[in-house]
Amino acid sequence: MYPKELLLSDNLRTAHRTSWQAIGEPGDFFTGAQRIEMVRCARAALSCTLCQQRKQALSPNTIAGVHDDDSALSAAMVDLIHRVRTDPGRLTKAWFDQQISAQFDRRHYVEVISVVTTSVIIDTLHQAMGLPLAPLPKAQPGEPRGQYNADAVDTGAWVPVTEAPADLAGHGLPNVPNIVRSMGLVPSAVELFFTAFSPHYALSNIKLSISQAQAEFVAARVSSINECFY
Amino acid sequence: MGVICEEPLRELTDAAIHGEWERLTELRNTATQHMSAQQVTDALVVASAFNGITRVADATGIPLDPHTAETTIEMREQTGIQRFDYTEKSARYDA
Repeated sequence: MYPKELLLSDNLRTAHRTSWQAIGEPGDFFTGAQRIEMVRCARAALSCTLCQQRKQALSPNTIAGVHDDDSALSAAMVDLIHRVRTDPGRLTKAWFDQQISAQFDRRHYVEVISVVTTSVIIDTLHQAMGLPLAPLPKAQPGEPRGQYNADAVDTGAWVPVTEAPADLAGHGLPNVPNIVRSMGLVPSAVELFFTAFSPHYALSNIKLSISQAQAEFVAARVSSINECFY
Repeated sequence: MGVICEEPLRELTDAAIHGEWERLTELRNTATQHMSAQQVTDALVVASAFNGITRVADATGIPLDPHTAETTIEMREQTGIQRFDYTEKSARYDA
């Protein structure tokens, strides 16, 4: 997936290859072909006129229209993916509630978020390293498994999350922070995303050539640009 | 007080997240006057990861972890982070 000469760890290379292939496999609520279409849709969002107009508006919710996307996915799912890809900092609870009541089951929503955000990591790294985007994975046959975590709990997030003890680790966050719990309604969504994410970052003793402080600086800068509260 | 190589780290991050790919190509080269090539790569490794995980947080509406919520109240106000709170976003963006 990455040329040998790039200074990327073997762990990261393996993780991205694994996640990329997994996107092409059936998930718990979508087929491999549908998951690949989500990635294609996320890529199309970056050149979408409606998304650009919304990005410039005081509120994205004041601009109606149709996305530049000939996707086979439903219009609601295209809108969800485009918003998450191009303007995640302005998603709101009211918007989410509207999606869930009218368009999506929470479990489906979580799987979409996992696939799209996993692809964002991999696509961003490719582009940041000056590489063309990776070819879309091949769709593997099979039907969605339909498995989910029936014991997920309400902690004030928009979706039920993994239940976890609140004990703190040495870095001051819980041993299982809310971000790790956030997609716990669909365990395969957690696995997909964190397989790709884990080689990139650690809360302490980071195994990169930059210091923990430098990594936190970069992380905080990204969070600020994306207007992420967490 | 800041972090070592703060300026090239900020420039690399901003270009990566704003999708300024031509500028990023230049920055990857110029940043190596201050940092090793491995450090430039690793900064972009972290940036790309957070470009994904911030979207997970924002799309699932997860609250701050309790200890963080209790200990960062003043800092969130001073830095403007509180503006990103979900309730405040709703006040700004919901029609």
